[in-house]
Amino acid sequence: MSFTSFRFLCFFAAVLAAYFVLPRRARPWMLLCASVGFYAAAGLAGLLWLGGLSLAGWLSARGIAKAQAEGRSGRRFLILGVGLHLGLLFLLKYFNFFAGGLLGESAPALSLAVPAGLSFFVFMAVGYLTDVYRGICPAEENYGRYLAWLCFFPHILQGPIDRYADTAPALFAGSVFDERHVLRGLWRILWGFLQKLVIADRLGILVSGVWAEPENFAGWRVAAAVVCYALQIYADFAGYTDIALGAAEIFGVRLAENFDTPYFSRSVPEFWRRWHMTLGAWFKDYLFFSLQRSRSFRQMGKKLKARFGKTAAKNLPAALALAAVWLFTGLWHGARLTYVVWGVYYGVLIIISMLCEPLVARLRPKKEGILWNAFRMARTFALVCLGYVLFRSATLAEAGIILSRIFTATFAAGKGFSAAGIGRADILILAPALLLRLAVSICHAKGIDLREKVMERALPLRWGIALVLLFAVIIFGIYGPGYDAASFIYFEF
Amino acid sequence: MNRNEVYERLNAVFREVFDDENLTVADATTAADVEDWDSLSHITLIAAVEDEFDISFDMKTVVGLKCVGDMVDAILQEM
Repeated sequence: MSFTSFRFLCFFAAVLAAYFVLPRRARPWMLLCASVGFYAAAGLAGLLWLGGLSLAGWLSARGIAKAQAEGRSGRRFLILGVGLHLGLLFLLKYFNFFAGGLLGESAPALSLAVPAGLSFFVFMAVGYLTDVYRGICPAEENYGRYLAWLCFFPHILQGPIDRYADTAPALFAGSVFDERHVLRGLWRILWGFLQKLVIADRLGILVSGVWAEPENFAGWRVAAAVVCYALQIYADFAGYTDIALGAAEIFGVRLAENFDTPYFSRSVPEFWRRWHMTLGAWFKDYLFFSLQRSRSFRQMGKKLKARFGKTAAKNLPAALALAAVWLFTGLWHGARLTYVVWGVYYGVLIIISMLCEPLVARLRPKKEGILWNAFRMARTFALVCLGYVLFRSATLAEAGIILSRIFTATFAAGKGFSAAGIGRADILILAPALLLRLAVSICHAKGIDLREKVMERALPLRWGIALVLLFAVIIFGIYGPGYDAASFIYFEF
Repeated sequence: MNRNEVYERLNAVFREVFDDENLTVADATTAADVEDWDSLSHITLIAAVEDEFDISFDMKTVVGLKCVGDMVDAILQEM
């Protein structure tokens, strides 16, 4: 059930009404039932996988807690629980990719459907098990409460990849009706709809049109389509995240933020601290730190220090850990060669950035002016766009065609954007919508909480803003018959 | 070992990790006060501190460190 479907709107309205009618103690359980129903709508087979995995995760965490209470480490339960989750993820999502790559056409192929949101809830569960093992959060005693957290409908399909300790307490507290929560949540949901239906889906028409037949367009138009894809994927994923966070906020639950104006970043490492932040934090805390603190990495560091000095001891293990993080980040997005190459591309950029940092620090101007920062932002955005060519393309050959068109036929004759399916009316809608998106980003970067500012205003204005957003979505959004409501870009991950 | 002795050895570790001979840390020092103290160098720093004091922090302690004062408390607790 996509967030932008009519079914979801009816579902959400019914859940909201039932939530606030029921006594407070019953509310978390009501959310559990609603979330299970929401997930079942994506397919009953997926629900079975979710039920089995969540039970395995809950039992493993209990095993870790029991072992630690008896003075043992509980490591076996951690390996068992994490192994089951990652093993199933590998089997359902990557088996065919690797088997085909290793054995070619003779490889056996599994025809099991991948449950919706598998990569997201497996990562949440693995994070929970690791946190229990590390003593960061207690093992949940009640299976129903664990399941209620894991399959909470705002985050199960596309994240954010939440931590149990951060979200579960508010979820189980059972929120009371609060106009502030409801309005802030509602604004955020509507803002998410506006980004998705007015901006992302409209840009998507142009991007799909150019990507389907790049040879019909001059290189500069193909480059413009890549930039449009950068804006589309941001509006799409940030729009989804705003709907998810807004929906959760109405129930009094604050999910983790996923974006912090990423296109204002001045370096690629900074971009990845501001884009899909919960995924980056997950890889940092559970893979990068685990590798860096492992016995083998530390021994490697000591040997390197004795032989090559402290710079090598500091950089080489970090570079290896980063290489692993980026290979897995690429693979996490899907079993496709372009994702792997995209991950390697970022790994190389970030490792180079880390190794060159001392040299760059010497060359950097003492006072960082507006022009210098604008140059750094533009350079970072260009590198990110180059990565998007790989990310958006189904094959490396397709990415090659796009790049070759950009660089070898930059000013060649070709069709206009109207041939990609985008008209003058679309551009007239997109331009102010993108300016609005930019203005909101600037306010966010300056630390201005727009929702808080509006909340201070009179009641008619507060609700008026919600109505304006609603009508903007209804009038300018792309939806209705023929619209593929399930097409959030990150849904396929 | 008292707090001052911990600081004496800890300052030497910070100077080596961050390549700054003039660096001196105190209880209230945080990552924001030290240039280059990011998540990458944090793990290098933790490993260097563990080697210096021959101790081992668990991950709960590592993620709970908010300032150098917390680190000194953790060192004294582990020794």
